[in-house]
Amino acid sequence: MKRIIHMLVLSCKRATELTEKKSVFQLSWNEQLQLDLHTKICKCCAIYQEQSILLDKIIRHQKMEISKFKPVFHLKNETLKLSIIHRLDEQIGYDYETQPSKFLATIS
Amino acid sequence: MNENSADINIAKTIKSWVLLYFDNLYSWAVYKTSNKESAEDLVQETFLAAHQSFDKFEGKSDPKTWLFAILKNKITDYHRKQYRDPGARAERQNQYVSGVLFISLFNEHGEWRAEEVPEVWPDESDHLLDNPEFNSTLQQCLKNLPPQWFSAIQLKFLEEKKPDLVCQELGVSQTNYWQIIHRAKLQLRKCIQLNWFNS
Repeated sequence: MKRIIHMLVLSCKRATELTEKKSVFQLSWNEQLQLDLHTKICKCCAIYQEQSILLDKIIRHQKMEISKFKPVFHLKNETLKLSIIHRLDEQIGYDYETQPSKFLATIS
Repeated sequence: MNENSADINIAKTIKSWVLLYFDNLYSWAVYKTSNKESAEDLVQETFLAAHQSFDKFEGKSDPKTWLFAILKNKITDYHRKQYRDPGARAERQNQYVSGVLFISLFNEHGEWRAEEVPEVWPDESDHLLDNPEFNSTLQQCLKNLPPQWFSAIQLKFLEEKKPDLVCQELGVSQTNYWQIIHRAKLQLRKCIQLNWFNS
């Protein structure tokens, strides 16, 4: 029976394909029916489907935490930090060079 | 004079933000791009953009939220570019990697190979969401994906637009998009099976 479904309806490879397609786009009526039939009979692909949804949930959960992001590993990069500060200073400096009169006005 | 002292004040504010928020933004960028050099560029661009468009900030939101929003847009652009133009060499490699992946998982009839059949993950899998050790394994597995696949996965979760619109804007077909997501997910699941559940 399982083999017949595989041959007539959907292979496991194709079932995993539809599972992932479904996670991004809507399946056609026919594709949805094929996938449902397949996962009813094929336990492996039902498990795959469950795990795929769980992984999406975990990745999405990580995304939610932008504002209260607590990194698993904390990275530092003092060199870059200083270079950005330096560039910000330079940007003001650039203004002084092109507009010397204004610069003089600020220090007078 | 007013204009210039305002400029200096803006620069001072941005500099104080660099000191306060740099570590967080940088860690997040590395986390989301899996690439230190790109993260460096993106964070630098974020502060410079904040400096240039400071008038849009208006003190209405929390500076950290505002900076993260700018960075998030830059990271999304980065992934769009990396997904759309992986380069000819990467494209050939990706073809090869997916060939190997499909052969290792499925037999010639498209059935799971006996040693690759997905098995039920233990009950604790529900608690994986907040498990830092698991998250670090997941991060490592994401990092091991070919860059284009990694970017496709990131786009799926970063983009707020509908996927069909994203594809349209990027000029790629929907089929191309979900096929890459498919390969990436098969690879990711396998990596997690091996490095978390089997180890």
